[in-house]
Amino acid sequence: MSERAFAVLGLFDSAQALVDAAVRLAPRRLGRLEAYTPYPVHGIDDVLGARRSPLAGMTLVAGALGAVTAMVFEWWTSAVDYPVVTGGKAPFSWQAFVPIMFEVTVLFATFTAGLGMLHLLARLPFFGHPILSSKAMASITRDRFALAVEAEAGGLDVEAAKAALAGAGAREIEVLTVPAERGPFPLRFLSRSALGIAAACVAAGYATYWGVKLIPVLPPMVHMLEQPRLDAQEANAFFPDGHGMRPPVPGTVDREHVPYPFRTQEEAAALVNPLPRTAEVLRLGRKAYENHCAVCHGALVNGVPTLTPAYGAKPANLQSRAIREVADGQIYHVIVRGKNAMPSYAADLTEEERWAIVHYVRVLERAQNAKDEDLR
Amino acid sequence: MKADAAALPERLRPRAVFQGVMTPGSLDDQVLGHTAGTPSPLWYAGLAISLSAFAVGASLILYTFYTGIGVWGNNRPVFWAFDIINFVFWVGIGHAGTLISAILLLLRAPWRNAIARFAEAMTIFAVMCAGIFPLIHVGRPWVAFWLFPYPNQRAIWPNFRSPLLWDVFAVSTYFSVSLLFWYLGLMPDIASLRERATGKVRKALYTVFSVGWRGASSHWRHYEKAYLLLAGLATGLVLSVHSVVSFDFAVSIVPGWHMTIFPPYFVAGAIFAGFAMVVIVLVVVRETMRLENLITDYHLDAMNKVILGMSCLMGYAYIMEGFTAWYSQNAYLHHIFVQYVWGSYGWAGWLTIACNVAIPQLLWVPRFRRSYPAMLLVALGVTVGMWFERFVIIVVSLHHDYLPSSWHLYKPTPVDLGILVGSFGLFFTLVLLFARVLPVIATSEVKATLPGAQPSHRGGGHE
Amino acid sequence: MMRSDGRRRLRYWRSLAEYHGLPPTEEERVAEAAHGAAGPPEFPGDGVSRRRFLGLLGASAALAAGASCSRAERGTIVPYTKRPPEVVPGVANHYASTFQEGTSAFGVLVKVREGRPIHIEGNDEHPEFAGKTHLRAIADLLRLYDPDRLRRPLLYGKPATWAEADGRIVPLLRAAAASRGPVLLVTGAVVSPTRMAVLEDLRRVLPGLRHVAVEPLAGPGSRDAAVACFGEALTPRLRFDRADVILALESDFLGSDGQAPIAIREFVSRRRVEGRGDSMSRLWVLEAGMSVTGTNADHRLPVRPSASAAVAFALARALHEEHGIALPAGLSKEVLSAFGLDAIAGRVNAPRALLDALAADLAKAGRAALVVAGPSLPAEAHVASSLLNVMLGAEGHTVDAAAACRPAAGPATAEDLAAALREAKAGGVAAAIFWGVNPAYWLPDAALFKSAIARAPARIFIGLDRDETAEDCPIVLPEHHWLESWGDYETSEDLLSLEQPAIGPLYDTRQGEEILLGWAKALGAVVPAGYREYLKARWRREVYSAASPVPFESFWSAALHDGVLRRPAAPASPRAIRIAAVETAASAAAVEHAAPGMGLTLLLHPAVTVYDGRYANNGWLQELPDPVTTVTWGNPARLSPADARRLGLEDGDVVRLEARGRSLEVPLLVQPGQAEGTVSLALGYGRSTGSVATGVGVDAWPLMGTGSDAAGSPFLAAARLTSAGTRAETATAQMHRSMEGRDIVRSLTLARYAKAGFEQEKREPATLFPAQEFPEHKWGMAIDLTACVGCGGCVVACQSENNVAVVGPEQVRRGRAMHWMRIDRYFDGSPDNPRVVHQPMLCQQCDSAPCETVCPVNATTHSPDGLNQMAYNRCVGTRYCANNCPYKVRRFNFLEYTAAKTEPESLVFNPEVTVRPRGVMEKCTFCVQRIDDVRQRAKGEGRAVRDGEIVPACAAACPATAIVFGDLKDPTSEVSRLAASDRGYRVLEELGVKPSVTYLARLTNPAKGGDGHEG
Repeated sequence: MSERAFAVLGLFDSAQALVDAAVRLAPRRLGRLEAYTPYPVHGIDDVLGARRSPLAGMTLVAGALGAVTAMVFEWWTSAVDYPVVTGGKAPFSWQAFVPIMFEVTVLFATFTAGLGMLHLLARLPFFGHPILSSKAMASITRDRFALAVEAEAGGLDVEAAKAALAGAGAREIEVLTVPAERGPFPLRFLSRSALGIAAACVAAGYATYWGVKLIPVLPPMVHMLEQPRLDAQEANAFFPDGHGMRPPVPGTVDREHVPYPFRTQEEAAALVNPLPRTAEVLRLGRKAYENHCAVCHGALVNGVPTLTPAYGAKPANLQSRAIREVADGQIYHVIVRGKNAMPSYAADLTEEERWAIVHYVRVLERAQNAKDEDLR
Repeated sequence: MKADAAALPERLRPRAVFQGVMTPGSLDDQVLGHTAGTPSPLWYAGLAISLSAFAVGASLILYTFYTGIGVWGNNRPVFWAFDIINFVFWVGIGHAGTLISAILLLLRAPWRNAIARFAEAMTIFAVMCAGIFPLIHVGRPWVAFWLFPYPNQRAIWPNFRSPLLWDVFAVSTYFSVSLLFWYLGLMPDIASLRERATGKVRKALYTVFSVGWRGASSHWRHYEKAYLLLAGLATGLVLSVHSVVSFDFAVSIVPGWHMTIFPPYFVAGAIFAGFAMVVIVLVVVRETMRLENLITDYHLDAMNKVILGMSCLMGYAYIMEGFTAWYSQNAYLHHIFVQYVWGSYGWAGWLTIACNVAIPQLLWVPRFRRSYPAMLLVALGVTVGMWFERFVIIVVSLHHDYLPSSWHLYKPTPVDLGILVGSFGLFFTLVLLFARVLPVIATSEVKATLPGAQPSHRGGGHE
Repeated sequence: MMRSDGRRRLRYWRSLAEYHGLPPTEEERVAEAAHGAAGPPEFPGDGVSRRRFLGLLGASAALAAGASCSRAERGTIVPYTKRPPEVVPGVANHYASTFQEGTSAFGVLVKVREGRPIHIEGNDEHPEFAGKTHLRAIADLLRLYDPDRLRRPLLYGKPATWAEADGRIVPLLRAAAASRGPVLLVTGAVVSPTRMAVLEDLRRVLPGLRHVAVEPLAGPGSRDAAVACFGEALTPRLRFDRADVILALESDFLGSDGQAPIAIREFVSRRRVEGRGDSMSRLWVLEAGMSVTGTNADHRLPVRPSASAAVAFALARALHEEHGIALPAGLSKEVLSAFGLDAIAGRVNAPRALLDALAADLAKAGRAALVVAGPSLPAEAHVASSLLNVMLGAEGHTVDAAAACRPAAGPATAEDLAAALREAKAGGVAAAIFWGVNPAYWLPDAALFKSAIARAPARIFIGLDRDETAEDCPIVLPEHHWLESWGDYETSEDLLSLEQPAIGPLYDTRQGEEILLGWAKALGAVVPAGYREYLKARWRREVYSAASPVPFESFWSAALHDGVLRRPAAPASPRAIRIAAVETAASAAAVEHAAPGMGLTLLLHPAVTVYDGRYANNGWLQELPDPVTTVTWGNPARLSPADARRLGLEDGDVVRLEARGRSLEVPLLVQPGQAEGTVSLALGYGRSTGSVATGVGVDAWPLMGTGSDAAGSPFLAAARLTSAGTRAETATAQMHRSMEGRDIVRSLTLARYAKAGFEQEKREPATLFPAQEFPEHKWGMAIDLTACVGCGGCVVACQSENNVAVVGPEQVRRGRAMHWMRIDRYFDGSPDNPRVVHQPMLCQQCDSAPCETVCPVNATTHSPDGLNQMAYNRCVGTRYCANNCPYKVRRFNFLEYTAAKTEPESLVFNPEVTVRPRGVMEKCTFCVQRIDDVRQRAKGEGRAVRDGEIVPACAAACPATAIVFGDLKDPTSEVSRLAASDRGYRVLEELGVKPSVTYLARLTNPAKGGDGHEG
């Protein structure tokens, strides 16, 4: 008898007998009384002097919590975090939020009532209780009723308890001891399967990871990332050169643009600058010039590059007398057609910009070679 | 506190809800005994049939997933058809379970205990069947999870004004609550199974699922309270769920959908269909598992009375709908109701009325309430009738809406039918498996109501 | 070793100005604005702008991409190696060009993105089309990217090079030239002077060239009548805008007719009513088969085509006797004695009163009257209508012979070709060349065709795709599509329009003219190699006046820029009618061609969509519902309800149709309004080549006759109808015909409107929610149902602009057509002669949109400028929105309709619009891409959006300008004005969904005496 006794168990045949025994033992303070029955036996609680179950209160609180949570969440998502107008309704149209609020209320309440009862009040799951490994358990879950005198802080007087139970008419009496080092069956089972469970978790983790990575792009799960349409700048194998963007057919004229007719600078000399020489135009000219021309021709149009001193070709010095004397049209022509190493800027500059540049260049030329009357 | 039954006058005494001598022990042996030993060939046959039906449905669902729901009959304007009909139908079936286990518990109807258990099981299986359809009916099932409000990089949330989202919450809540309710009821029985079980694996499983239940009276106290609370909550829930489902229609502007009567009318219909399904399964289980002594004619009688009452309620609802349509003087609504009975799908309307209102009137005759052929006829009739009621509401209303230019007939495809059959397959597969491994009757509840199960007086221990 | 104090400070700048700390200029600020996609302002009191929303959508896409980076194919960026000045990637260019069909040439404007045509609209510089064009011109864009197109020459069915082809052809031609042997060249009608010049050059070196410019639909009736009456075979220009009273005899000038867009524009210009005082023209239609024109009639009489001549003569007599209008000099009234109104009224069982009213109406209108006879009518009917026009003085006013179309060659009729073939059969030909024509398909006597050319040493086919004729030709030469070609067209003396390529050739093809030039060169002619040079040279020679101060180059590029050149027109002058013609016609009309023992008169007519069959391989046109029957993908035989009852037939029955000793089996359609005793059948179906066209509908061409046979017109025949015992469901877009007494289309008569205006009670129900606010714009649309003739142009334009899928007959039959814009057609009144209304139906962009509320994932929401917008890649596909849409304008991709397309088909997709995959809901967006395009440009230019600047595809295409788009917040905008009109109403407004589309009630203008279809 090295093990410490946990309780003395008396088995009875009927609920009636159980209750009577309980009534008899209750005043004797042998230890904590507990009944084990196959179904709820009414009245036993009063005899064992148990308190009312606090479950109802807990459930009420949980329900209220659920209601508030739901409504606040719906309000925040649809009126605060990301409001969108649907059907001309107000972002916070609470009437429409009530059904979900109700459901969440019920959800919170039921889970508190159910799981709260199991875990908080009944302290289940618990596989280690001595009675689970007792002989009596089988018959308790079947059709017999047990009254247990359980040890309290002061320990348990086994013999007295036995006598008392026998006196109360217990058919069988069993002494339960605190479990030895090797726990009851379920724990062993769990510990053995723990490894397997861990392995399963790892496998599941990997599966999820790759699943999330691959599955979304497996056919037929389309996400409209890939559309058969041909966008600007896209390559396309249908065309021999692989370019999705086609060049316009030579000689065609589109609505947005009038072709530049002249071949030689001389022809272009006839052109006159259509733009007035206003601050507006000059500002536009300066912007265009500084963006496109200054890198080579220099901020002061003197052919001193701002960024490319090492550049092989020698940019023209627009301050030179020769260029100062050519017609505006000829400068314009060079911008359009290019000259020597200079490529055409037709694609990059609108007509307006080109003429504005001409103005701007003229202004800088004048500023650099000011005559006396200019100062006057 | 409990009055002494013997002291009551005869008519007030609780009726014996079982036949013959019955002790807790014999009850266990009879009910829990089923889980041990090999099942009958009948059981295997049933499983084979329902499994293959399920396989057909599953493969067709896969096919739909790969080709698109164009393989169904849905079209413009009938954008919803079998998919949503089946969803509403199955959710409805589920309701009987909750009703029996929860509402009848609150009403203290003595005959509920014997049938509550698999009524609840049916609820869960039916809701599982129902849950399939909203998922597969969407055009891009692989993004269906967008319906759940989870934080995401798009920083966009679902639209809480949409009845479909209400559905998501209602149905998922309904499922989890029913599951919990069912499981709590099962726990003590699983404990008994744990003690009886011989096989190592079985014992292990029963042990784990009984979470170490030991029948301590300090547990029973909370347990009973919890069970009562759950019953109360489930009652509110069961009423809300089908109301929400009916909102899918009532909240829209489709003529024939936009009706204020829908919520109560849908709930009634759900209970109606559910009871019919319970009766069918009840009869089968009772015969195959020899439970005549537990599931008595008295039970069947009670069930059929409920069906009869519900059928009258349905009849009333139909009349009221018609009256509303006529009285509203709304041309569109008026047109639709003419379509219900005289339109291209008039036959469906008449079928609905016949199955749901006419045939069940048989049950006024007490003899029919206790005869298998009669009650099966009615029950099957109601199941068909309620399915077609949803057909009428959904398809017929849609196929003639506001602009006649878009009116179009609807024709289902074999795929539609296959998936419907598949859902039945799944349902009965689950029912059969359940009957095999778990007690179909809540033994601990029945034990508590056997004569002499409770102490007759508080035991006067004060001499 | 750099010391901390001496550390160089690096900084970046955008301009020297900024470097020097000058404030940024206005241009800089504007430019920056233009850079970021200009989004609308934010909701009042709401943290999220649409801009951020789009950003987030982008983020979601990025997320998905991240998740799928292991798989998703990343496109590579390929910029222009040398960017052409006129192209800015992402910005569209527009090219003016011309599209020819038969003797009509439509001035079009081709929308080009990065050198790729993606959309076609009317040429706004063109005086006659004024920015509108024919739906078939819009749809023919699809043909450019048709996978069935020939990609290289074929010799005996095997791919070959041009060198090989020429190597085989040229010797044969040399031989032919040497032996002066006959060379048969069959082309379509030639309205291009330069193409004609090429042919002349070829003829010079190939003397035996026998050119037949044939148009299968050219009716001999009109030509013979013109020759007989006025001595010249020309079709005068009809001025509907000058006509107060129009009488159409079997003429579908608003529908299948080639000039439809012009006719519609001019006709509607006299139907548009602004206020209660305005007047309207009146349209009388006497026709057998219900046509688009018939559906727009104020009075429509179902009349057998064989009787219409008699009716016309009777009217002439009535005009003379009762209204004292003089007969043409020399015409004795005895000639018309056979045509008493009573007798005629009895013959066509029309109420006498109505015919009196018609006569009175014509008399009252005088020179402002216009009588039009359809090409299918026999010569005498055309003579009769000419007589009426002459008597009324319409000749020279509404009938403008001066501006007539004088094709350079043709149009010859099928019969003429048959004659030529018989000749060839007898005499033998050295070579038979078929250029862009398909006689093997449409020649009634196919056997003749085969046998005639069977022994020709060279059988050469020049065309776009390998059609029936190509099958019979060992040498098949691929031609440029017109969007790859140069050319010019002269529809009338005062108009010369140019054709220029919008894209380089996609395949190893040549322009037809260049092929011929090549041969001419090979045979020793001196001509420029390229057709472009040829064209330019000819213009320099013939068109450009050396006297003009403008240099030719500028003249030329200006002409290309406009796409059309106007020249002074000769004034309209009346022509005198020849009495003899009238007399012979009258005697012919006196006895109606009875149908011995057959019972029915068959009326063959071109389809509005596939025309004579040349467009049969075009999915857009095949799926475009016929405006009258809403049938797609087929041509059911149309029979009157009375006859159907008599023969015990109903919709969908397959019938055996016998005529001219041939018979075919065709599904039946009971057509309300069809004249009793007639059955009409559309031509152009039943092709045996083309992946789309093959086996769609039945081929009615074998039933065509010659002008000279009993019926008097190849389009008419005595026919018998018997049930074939089987059924075939036609793919009909609209199942239900009646409006069920719902006031979806509101209409009333002009008289009543003038008297009492249009009283409508507002049906907007009360709402719980505060009215939505629209800070900047509120886009809206107004559709005038009086103007809309229901042609269907908007449907095709929308399909082209918005990448709308073609789903095919099976899906249409199951009610899954995808058109965002559809035209609802309702019949009203007795099925024997119902009133017909058309209603363009598109997303109404409701402010309280029922679809938005029910979407569980917020995929469809409301934009701050009043658009009901769809985020396609947010859509899960619950279809709840579509159920809740009272207009059923939402379309669902039940299957993978578009997203699996590959080149060349996919090249037609508009890069501005998402290509929707399966499982996604879609719908009209008011062309939001066009709205944003204009908004961005306006913002870039620092100005507000101008009214009328944004034009959705449907509005741009509508020849009647029945659709007006604009900003409802701007009280001065056109759309606001129309929305406020007393005829304005909103469909189903009683539902309180607040639609943004206003419909203007339909006005009809029946005569006092007649039984006008009262609204």
